[in-house]
Amino acid sequence: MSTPILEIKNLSVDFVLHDRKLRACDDVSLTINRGEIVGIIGESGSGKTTLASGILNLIRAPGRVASGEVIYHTRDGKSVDLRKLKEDEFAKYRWTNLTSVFQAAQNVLNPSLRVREHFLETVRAHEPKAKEADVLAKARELLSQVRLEERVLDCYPHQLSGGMKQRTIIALSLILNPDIIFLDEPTTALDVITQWYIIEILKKIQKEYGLTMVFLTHDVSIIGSVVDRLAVMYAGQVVEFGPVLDLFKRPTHPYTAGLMNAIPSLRDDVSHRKAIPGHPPDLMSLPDACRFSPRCSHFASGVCAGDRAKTDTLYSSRPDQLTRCYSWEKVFKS
Amino acid sequence: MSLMELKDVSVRFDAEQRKGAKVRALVGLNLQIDAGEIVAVVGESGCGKTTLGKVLVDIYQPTEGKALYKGKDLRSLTREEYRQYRLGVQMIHQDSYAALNPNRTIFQSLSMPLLQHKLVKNKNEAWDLLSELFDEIGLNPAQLFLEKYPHQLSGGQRQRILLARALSVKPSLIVADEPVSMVDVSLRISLLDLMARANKKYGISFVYITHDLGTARYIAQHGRIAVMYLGRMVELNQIQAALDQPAHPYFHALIAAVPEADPTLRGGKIAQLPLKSFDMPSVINAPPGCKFHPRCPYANERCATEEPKLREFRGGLVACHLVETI
Repeated sequence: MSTPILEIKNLSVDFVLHDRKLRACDDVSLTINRGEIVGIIGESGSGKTTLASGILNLIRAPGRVASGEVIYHTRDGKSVDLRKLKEDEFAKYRWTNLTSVFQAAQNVLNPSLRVREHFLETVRAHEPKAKEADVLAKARELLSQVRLEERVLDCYPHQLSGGMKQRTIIALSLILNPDIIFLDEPTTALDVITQWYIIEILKKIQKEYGLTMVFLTHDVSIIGSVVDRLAVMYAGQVVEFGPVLDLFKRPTHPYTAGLMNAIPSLRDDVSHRKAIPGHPPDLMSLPDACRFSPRCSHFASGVCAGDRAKTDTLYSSRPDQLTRCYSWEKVFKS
Repeated sequence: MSLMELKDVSVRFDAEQRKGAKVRALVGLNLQIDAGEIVAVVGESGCGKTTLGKVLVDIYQPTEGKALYKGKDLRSLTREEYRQYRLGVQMIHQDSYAALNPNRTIFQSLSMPLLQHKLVKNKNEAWDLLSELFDEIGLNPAQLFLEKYPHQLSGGQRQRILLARALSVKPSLIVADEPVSMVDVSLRISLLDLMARANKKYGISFVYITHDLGTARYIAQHGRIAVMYLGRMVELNQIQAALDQPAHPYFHALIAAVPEADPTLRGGKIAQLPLKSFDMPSVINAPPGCKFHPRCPYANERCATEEPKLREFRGGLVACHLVETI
């Protein structure tokens, strides 16, 4: 279970704007193990999508990866640093090993191609000699996995509903047997019932194929019951990383604690719910202290001095749990 | 007399794809909104909840039936009464970026209705009124925000400005159409709190349109909830009673589908949703009988032929033949 599949080491992504630099993803280190489901949550602008793009080598100008390594361990035990690969070498890994379902995926399908052509094109880009019948047989199997009928193959995207398109894309992303899949807001813009259904399908596929999944979302309620481990991002940094249950029950970063307290739910007492005051910081003018300090009640009350230098590293607060808050012991006494 | 009332309202649109076909966006809908009340309207996309909101603010006119404001049909209001109605019923839109003119500063946008309706004498008064309002909804310092353009603000800030715009004309009803669905989770509650406070402090009624039951429960703790399905209202009840004991099978499914963030709170593993099919039927060819029967696990022959009417059940209203047996 705990053999790593992807090791992200000190990954930083910069965007250059008018000769000023904006670091959208700052020194992120994460290890993802084979077969597990990892969730990455954070507000918009916290760098989730940038992180995924950085891993998948999809950063385009004015963005650029400033530093870091992404080490991918293949199924047969080789280790590759994805950052050192050339574009055409990387293309061999994309879809066959690492694949992604991006936000607003409904618009990913080409409106003038039938679904079957999407499958054929994708496979032929990697295996030019693939036989049409084989590809379609595999496509049918995947479509039935996501509970779609065969006739979908002959549909154009506009003939499908939002939920059906999303499921088609999930099937499409699996056509080349990847072993890790990135899902960026896979259920945003879908209804609760469709959302529930897609999450169920993903859980089932994960079990059956032993996939590794990385969920990126701003809404923790969607993935709370799905993921094994959770990383919380704030202003480009990972502020806390650990087993999902611990992050819910015993968070060791004030931002995580605030986030867990800000979700209206259907079952528990709503009167305890409280928003996190303030707004996420502007990445162009970060505070000269801990990035969360302007919104942190423990900084305001003087419990923590919010020393910026001390927030440059992650602290191990519990076994398997990391936090960027160096005052976590003082802040979370009980 | 209720503040706003919809009586047997139906709205039909011409279907785009097929000539002559009609989309029945709302069918025979009755709803009363009392002063100071919060009503949450929930349902999947395409169920007609936004159309309902737009009928309330008179953007869409009912094809059949009528909308009444303080007991009078909107179509029979005098010019002055209609002006009062327009001021009295405000709307907050989902997409805060699209709802503000990108070429105008916030002050230019927000002072216009005040000057137009002569709620203030001049721009200085408008400035003072808006500054006070901005302080109240947590946009400090107000001056900074009034001089900005929409693109310079974050989504949460813009959504607050939309709320300020609605509040600035002292309305008696605000129709909020998914006001927080595009706002970050950490800021959602603060916006909902602002709305709840406006409701308490000024007695403003709210119609809160959403597909998120969690936020609906949060804002309408003491209010009512209306569940919509394919243009029909299928359940109406006090929100807590409705969530504790959902009556309509569709509402059962809707509640079961709500993700629970906390891994330990999720009430056991629900292996299956109580639904036969997950896709909504098309609005153009709605199925005969009960509109929900193709997806309903309890449906029998009667459901396939006869459309149930809303009737009283456990203190609320529900449209289902079999509700007693479920």
